[in-house]
Amino acid sequence: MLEIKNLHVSVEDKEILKGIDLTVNAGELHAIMGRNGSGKSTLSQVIAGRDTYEITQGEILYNGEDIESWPPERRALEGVFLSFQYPVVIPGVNTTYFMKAALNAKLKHLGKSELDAMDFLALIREKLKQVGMDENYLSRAVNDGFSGGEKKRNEILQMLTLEPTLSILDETDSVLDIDALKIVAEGVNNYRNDERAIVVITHYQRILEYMDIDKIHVLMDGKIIRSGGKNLARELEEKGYSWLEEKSV
Amino acid sequence: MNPFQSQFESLIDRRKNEPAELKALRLQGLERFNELGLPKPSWESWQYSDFSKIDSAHFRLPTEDDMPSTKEERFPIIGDSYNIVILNGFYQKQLSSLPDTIKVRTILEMFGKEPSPILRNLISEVNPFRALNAGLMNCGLVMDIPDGTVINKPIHILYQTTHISDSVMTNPRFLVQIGANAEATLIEHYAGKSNNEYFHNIVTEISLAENANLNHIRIQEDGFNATHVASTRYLLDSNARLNGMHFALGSKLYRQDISVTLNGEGAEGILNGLCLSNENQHLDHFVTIDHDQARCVSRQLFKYILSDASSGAFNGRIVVKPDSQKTDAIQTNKNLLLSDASLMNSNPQLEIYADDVKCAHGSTSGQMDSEAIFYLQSRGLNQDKARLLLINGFAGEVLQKIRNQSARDYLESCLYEWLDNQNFSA
Repeated sequence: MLEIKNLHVSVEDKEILKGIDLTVNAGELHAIMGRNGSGKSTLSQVIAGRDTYEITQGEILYNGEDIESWPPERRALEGVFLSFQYPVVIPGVNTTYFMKAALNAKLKHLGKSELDAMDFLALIREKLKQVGMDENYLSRAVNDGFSGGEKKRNEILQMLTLEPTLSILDETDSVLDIDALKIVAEGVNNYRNDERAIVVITHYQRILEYMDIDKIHVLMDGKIIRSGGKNLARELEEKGYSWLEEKSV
Repeated sequence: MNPFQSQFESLIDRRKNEPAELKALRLQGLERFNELGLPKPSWESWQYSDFSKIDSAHFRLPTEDDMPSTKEERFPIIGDSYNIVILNGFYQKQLSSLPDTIKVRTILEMFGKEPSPILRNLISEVNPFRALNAGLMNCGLVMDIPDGTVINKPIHILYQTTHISDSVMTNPRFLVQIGANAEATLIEHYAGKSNNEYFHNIVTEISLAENANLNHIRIQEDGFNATHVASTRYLLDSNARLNGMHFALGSKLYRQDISVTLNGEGAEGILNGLCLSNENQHLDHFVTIDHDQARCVSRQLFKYILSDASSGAFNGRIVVKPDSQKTDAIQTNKNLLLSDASLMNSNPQLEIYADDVKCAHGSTSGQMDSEAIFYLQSRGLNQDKARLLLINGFAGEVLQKIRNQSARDYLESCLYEWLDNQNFSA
């Protein structure tokens, strides 16, 4: 589903990603781990189509197609979803209105009929339950006055509603307490199926304990320096990133 | 002779039967205006707005000959309301409908019978346009809402200007007096159906007696070559509550001085504003809130959305007198610049002479948040739709504060129409 080949990315002439190779197949759950500044968020934003990053070399293939020229909304409509590390606050824009507009844009793209207000409300109520969110979120402005944890749940709520095929979760776990973390992990686990792929980007292996991970990649200084199975996370937890740093020299 | 002087003389000549007191007032107003002259760039409170071209336009006052046929005229409707219609400066009693509980007279009728409340301050007047208005006052109304009266529908004062081939100026004056414990919603609405040059110089004085409650929605959608100058003053007695909304999208040059005097303990003044400008428009608000008594609350939220080469100015002063303890005042000005050529001047001022007060102000101006646009795009909305959603949200924060649903709907439709005509792809 996602095939990244020798990806080099720069911001204002500073190279951040220095040759990433990554393949994620349908049905798989991958984790990308790394320290702050290793390039994790750059990778997620580039996949979603942020234009402040420049691809200087390599390519990103999504279902076999090079998506470099696709604007972010096309990627979204075709099934790519990014759960933001820092969800953006949009004062004055009602959450219900925003989510309904997003869902209807997607339905329209898929050639399905758009939902009216009643049907949308019924659907969103169901999804709210899955992430343990109160209905009054809907009447508030997008992420406005939300706590860190509420913002992250709201991202997962959007994922469950928009039903993407490739979900990139960028540090969705970082400000969650243990109860919220379990809810989010469970939401992701339930969401997973043979046709969907999920990439969890994280700092800590904590969330990985609640998920059945297929592959873990360690990102350091813009390169994946190690890939492995679930045990890699535990090793990292025990020995720290410097263990790999020494090994890779 | 300056054009205003000659208009003054022809006005006096046309209205030979006016009471002596009114004539004296006019003369005083004109003399004060001549002393002050038009605002100059060196006047600090007027520095952002250029009135140097007003002199040369040779505006004249309208006469009955300028009246269009009211049968063909179309008037904007804002929900179910009582109506007062003024067309090119002439009150249209036959098109107006009011409940018996509201007393309305033309301002010229009033001067025949009562001493003028205007006379008191004219000699020390510092705003030349207010002095000019007193001199050339050609229309306006006095409205009294008696004590304890609750008006169940909004009162929509529609001041409509139609196409007149030469340049016309009007100097309306409104006096609105809300009695003790009375409640009303007043929509003061300027609609221009002409793209010709014209000049409005409006004075509105609104007083709220003890525990009165007023929603005031002022809508300025004058023609694109109009100059709209206004001075609006609110005077609040104890525990009176004002919820004011000042919406402006019309005219090439707009300047409104708004003053709120919280003159009784526990009075609350809420004042919001939204300006939408494009092309070469210049929209300017100068707001002063005087906390003259203790325990008063004031809130201001003014927003500007500027496109093309338009410009805006917001001056906001909060003055807290020495004995006005427990004052609670917040002022916010936020501006969204949609083009590189647009320009905003924001100037908040706090003057606090009491020590036990809560006062805050904040001002931000900036272009659209590219991160927010990316966020919306990443959810499947295209860039144009994302921008529209953000602008709507930005404006919506102000419009949501309007309590009257019909007025809110009307202004939202004005916003959508305005957005439809903007070019954001640049």
